[in-house]
Amino acid sequence: MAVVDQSPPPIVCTLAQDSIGGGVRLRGRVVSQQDAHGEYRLKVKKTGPSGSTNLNQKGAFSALANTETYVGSTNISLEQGAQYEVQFAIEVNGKTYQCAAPSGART
Amino acid sequence: MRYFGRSTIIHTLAILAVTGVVFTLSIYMSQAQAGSVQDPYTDLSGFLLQGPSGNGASSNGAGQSSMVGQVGQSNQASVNMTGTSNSTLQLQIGVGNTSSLDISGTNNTLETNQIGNHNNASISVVGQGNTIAESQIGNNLSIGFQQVGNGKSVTIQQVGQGK
Repeated sequence: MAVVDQSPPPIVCTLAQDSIGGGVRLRGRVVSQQDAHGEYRLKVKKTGPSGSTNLNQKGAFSALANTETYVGSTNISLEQGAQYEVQFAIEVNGKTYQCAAPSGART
Repeated sequence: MRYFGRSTIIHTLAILAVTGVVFTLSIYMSQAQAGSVQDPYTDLSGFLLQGPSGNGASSNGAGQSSMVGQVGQSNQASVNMTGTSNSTLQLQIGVGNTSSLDISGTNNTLETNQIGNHNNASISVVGQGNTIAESQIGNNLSIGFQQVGNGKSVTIQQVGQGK
């Protein structure tokens, strides 16, 4: 009988998206079972009727065990018809994690 | 006769000058009205003088500030800043302007505003605790932003409407 490992992953990262007036605040969110230190990379590509924005951020972070840690906060305006794509990744102990980062739009 | 001749010339010149101003204003107003109908963000290029390419400031140190203001088209403003707690503000009004900011250090504040079409901003920041704000109003805008380090805040605004 196969044994399924149901323990939570050692580290989880997602993209937090909060609506702000006329735009969105994008932040990376990291939760780790143990204290973690690493580097994050946040890429945002926004296109819209008014123009385009290419944003690249990277930096070091430290996350306490079982505590939400936010990295790379960025506010971007979204005019009507604009859309954006996000890539968010972290690297901890030499291992790279691609984080869930759904795209968004303002219709 | 001689006096009368001078007076006539002066009056004629005055009338021509006033007529010219009124005529010029009427052309400008009609152009502005026509432009506003076609595009809510009126193309100002026909009203602006070719501005000189201007460089902003370069600073190395702490607690310094610089400000660049440019009105015109095809201007270039660049700021290179290294240090701590420096601040820079760029304002460009016109068409086809380029703003370039290269910041290295901690706790710096940089802000750039561009009003007009076809403007471009390029921002590079290395360091911790920096505050960055970029605002563009117009059409066909572009922003390139690179940041290494944990910034204090980043705000990017583009307001406009495509044709």
